[in-house]
Amino acid sequence: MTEPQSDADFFASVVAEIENEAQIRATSGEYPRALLRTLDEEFRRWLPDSASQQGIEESIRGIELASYVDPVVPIDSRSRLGRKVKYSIRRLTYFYHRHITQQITVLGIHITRPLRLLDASLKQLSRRLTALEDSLDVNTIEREELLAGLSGGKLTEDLSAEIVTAMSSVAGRILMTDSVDLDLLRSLQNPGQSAYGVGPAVIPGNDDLELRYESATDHLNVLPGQSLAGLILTGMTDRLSLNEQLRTLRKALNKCAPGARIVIIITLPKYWEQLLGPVGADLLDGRPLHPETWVHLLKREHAENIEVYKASDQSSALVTAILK
Amino acid sequence: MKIDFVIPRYGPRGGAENALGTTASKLAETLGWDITVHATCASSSLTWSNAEEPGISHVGKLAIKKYLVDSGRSPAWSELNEKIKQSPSSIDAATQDAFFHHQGPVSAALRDGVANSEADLIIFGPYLFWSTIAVLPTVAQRSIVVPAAHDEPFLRLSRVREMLSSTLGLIYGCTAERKLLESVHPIAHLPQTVLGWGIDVKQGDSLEAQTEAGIDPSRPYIICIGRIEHAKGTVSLAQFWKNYCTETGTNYQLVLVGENNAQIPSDHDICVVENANDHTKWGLLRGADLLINPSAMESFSLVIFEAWAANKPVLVNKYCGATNGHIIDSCGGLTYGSYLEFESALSRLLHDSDLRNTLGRAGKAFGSSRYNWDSITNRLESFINRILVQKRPS
Repeated sequence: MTEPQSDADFFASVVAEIENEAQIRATSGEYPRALLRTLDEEFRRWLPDSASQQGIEESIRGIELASYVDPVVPIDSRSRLGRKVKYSIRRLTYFYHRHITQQITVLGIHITRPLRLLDASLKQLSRRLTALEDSLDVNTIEREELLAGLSGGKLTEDLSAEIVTAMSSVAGRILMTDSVDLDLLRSLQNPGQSAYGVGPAVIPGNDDLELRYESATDHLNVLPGQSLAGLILTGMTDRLSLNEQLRTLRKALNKCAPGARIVIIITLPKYWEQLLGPVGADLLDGRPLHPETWVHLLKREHAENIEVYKASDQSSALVTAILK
Repeated sequence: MKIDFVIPRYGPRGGAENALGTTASKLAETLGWDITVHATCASSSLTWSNAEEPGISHVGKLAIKKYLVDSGRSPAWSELNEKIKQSPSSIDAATQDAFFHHQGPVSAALRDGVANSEADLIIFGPYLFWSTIAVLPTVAQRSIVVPAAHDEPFLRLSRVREMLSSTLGLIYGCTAERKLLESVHPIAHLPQTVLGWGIDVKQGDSLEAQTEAGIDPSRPYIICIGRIEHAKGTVSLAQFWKNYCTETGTNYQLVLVGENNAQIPSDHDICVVENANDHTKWGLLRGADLLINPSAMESFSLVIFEAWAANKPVLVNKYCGATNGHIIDSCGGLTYGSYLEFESALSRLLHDSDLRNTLGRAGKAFGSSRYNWDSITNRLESFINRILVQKRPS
């Protein structure tokens, strides 16, 4: 185990212990609820709105805190007489206040109970959905293990040159995702192209490039429509399931402006089989797609000028197109 | 290369303005570029009243142009502020313009000075002031913005969206800030860099600082540095701390260093230190066992990097994207999201010096590797060069 890993593990264990301790104390009744509510009220008052949108569990906690009403009315006063009068009124009306606050607390319980049931149903639904996804696709862990064993073919020089040529006339933003080829990105940037790369793998020490370390899906979700003048899809075309590839393609094309240049880099299926052997080829059946399939998909998305270039070593290919 | 910076005020005040002024100075020193800072003559963000003489001055190779303020924060601001807070997404443009006008600092001379500048690129920040919202559109085709934003209602205004969308690029303090802005406005496609800010470690002896601040040197203390006000979470921190003292009978004291806008009084448990200079601040930081940043509204938080530079661990608000992100990346401190978590985390830190040392060391390593000035100026130089050579749609 490396030093940073052990530091991170130690840190995670300390955080877990603290959260666990706080949770136990919250449920033990060791602290009066009214006191905790008063303390947390000012704390929560100055939190950003997004803090209260952190799931049903957090909302339920908020309702529970808010629905507890303390029947013991404060009797602080500037004068002793005032304090005595307030104390007397509090004693005389305590039965009334307690009755009201109990009803409010019961109301809070009635509100939070269905929310908890809803939360449980959503969690169950999420589990079923995951199971359904798994049944439709190769087990994710197994797939990751197989893919981890591959070194990922380096883009050949002839294909790199084709991409640079294809993108040379583009004026505007060019996105390369999600397996970013740093040399290609650099080649695109050098003639002044506004190209950037997005991918989940951290690539330290490339400050001359515009790189964002996040998943392609996360990035595509926040990209404005028609904001891209060029799109290079790579990496995901070898790794993702068929459904994921189709979904990503559709989403990415929605972010491209009319006239945008599209480049899809794929490993050729025959080369892929050689790399994986029979076990991998069977278990990862359907990935990557043949160039002909990409041509078909792009035609269906109303792309034109579709062309296919195969690498000189027959390891990979490009499908280029222009979006109508 | 000629680069201008536009900030509402220049000097060691305000987190983002201070960071931008210092960054401008570092660029001028290290790259030899022609760098000019445009700022108003104001020093207080509460009034924006003129406090300095207008004109040009130099700090090393950095040129600073100061312009008179025509109007600062006016009485009409409070009402507009409340109105916007209630429904920021549906406020009309005229009301937004009025809000920014009354927010200040309004300076026609600053606007004209920037518009007449021959700079290749003009960097504006933070987003919330008239000097950015009203001046940037006049030079949008040469502009970059440093939003220095956190999650607040003003961020959702349509004028903010228009301003951000019109720039050539954005410079963020941290990834959490980038993700926040990209989730609120359609700007994810724009060129950007997550830069962060560097710090300059200053001298300061802890015993001298404690004597100067009137702190009992026989008692250990924890420290919180920054404006003392509700929105910064300091009032909540004071309440938590008072209760913690009652519950545990700790001998520790909480030292609050900053402008006391919430009027928190000094007493046995809390010591408020106002008007501390850099030496006193750093001396007090070195004498503390840890630093707390209770604010949920930070776009970067330089102060936690100052604490790490002094080998001190930090305790921060779990709901602040920026500081929580720094903690996750660095393992340099702990977070709290309620009183009970505050009590548990603080007890653990105060009773375990090994833990404090481990976290402080991890924070220092993170800060010095990721946010040293060499790295920051290199990354900024690279970003500016990229922006200037990129082809843009006609």
